[in-house]
Amino acid sequence: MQEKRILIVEDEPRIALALCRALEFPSGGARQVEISPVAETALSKIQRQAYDLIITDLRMPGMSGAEFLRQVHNLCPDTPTMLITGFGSPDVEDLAQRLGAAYMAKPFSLRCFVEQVDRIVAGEEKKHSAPLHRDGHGR
Amino acid sequence: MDADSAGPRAAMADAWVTFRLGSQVYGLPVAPIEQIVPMVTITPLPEIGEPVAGVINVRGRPVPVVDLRRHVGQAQAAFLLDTPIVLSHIADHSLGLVVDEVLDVLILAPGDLIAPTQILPSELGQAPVIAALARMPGGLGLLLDPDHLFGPEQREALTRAAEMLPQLAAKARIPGGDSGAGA
Repeated sequence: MQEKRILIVEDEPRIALALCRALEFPSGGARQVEISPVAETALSKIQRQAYDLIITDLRMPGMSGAEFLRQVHNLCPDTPTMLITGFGSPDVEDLAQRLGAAYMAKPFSLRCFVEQVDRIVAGEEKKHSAPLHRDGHGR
Repeated sequence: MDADSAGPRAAMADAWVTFRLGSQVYGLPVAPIEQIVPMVTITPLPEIGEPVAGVINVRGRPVPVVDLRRHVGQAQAAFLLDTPIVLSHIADHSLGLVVDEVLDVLILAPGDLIAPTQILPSELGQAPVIAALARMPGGLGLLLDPDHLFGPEQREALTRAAEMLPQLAAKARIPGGDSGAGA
């Protein structure tokens, strides 16, 4: 099975490491996971390297996860994305949908997280195709 | 301590391994946890005393084991073949924590966290070992601060154990376990 390359953008290092560890002990296919604590750095990575999935936190210092996803959409519109947040609400879920991202609100189990990642990289969850708006929420 | 105190804030920045002791759910941060293995033979080492219940063989290395049920003041329960041992690095020591059942690994949201003093009696609520309480599937969990899991005397016992273990292990012929923990 082809190795799946995943980028995690998360400013909390212990959360980033836990997500990374969960994905690096695969139940199925192999995954290569990179972490970026800053959205701006992640954008540079995306310009150099293609990913099978890009996961971002919503609230981060500097560029928000929402703005990051808008730029990702411009750079690589076909790459699946996932928005995770500790401040889940119907508004944020709606924002994720408009940004074309899968959505996961804390609290969540790492087992569920890995299952959702697997579904996305296997193409079982289609990327939303709704148009992007610049009046979204976040940060 | 209020809801914005260091405990709950720190809790939000961690992923938590949740486990059950009796009917109570607890959590420990993922970072100090190395591996979870099924029960292996625990060789009692009464020379060392509390909190060390005995020693196991982890890939040829003797590792002290703490019965976490007894450590938190619950009645001792029989160890079964599938009773998990949480191999951790806590208080500068590698040790195994025996728990009843490992439940999950959770990433928590700020809204799920409660300062201990909001719910627990003041003496318990101010205990540094409890970093925060958290609403979890299955009820309210106690999130433990590994830096305060053991008191000074217990830390001394763990240090003594670390110094004595190689010698005691050789004398006691600690058997190798299975499922990755043993030699």
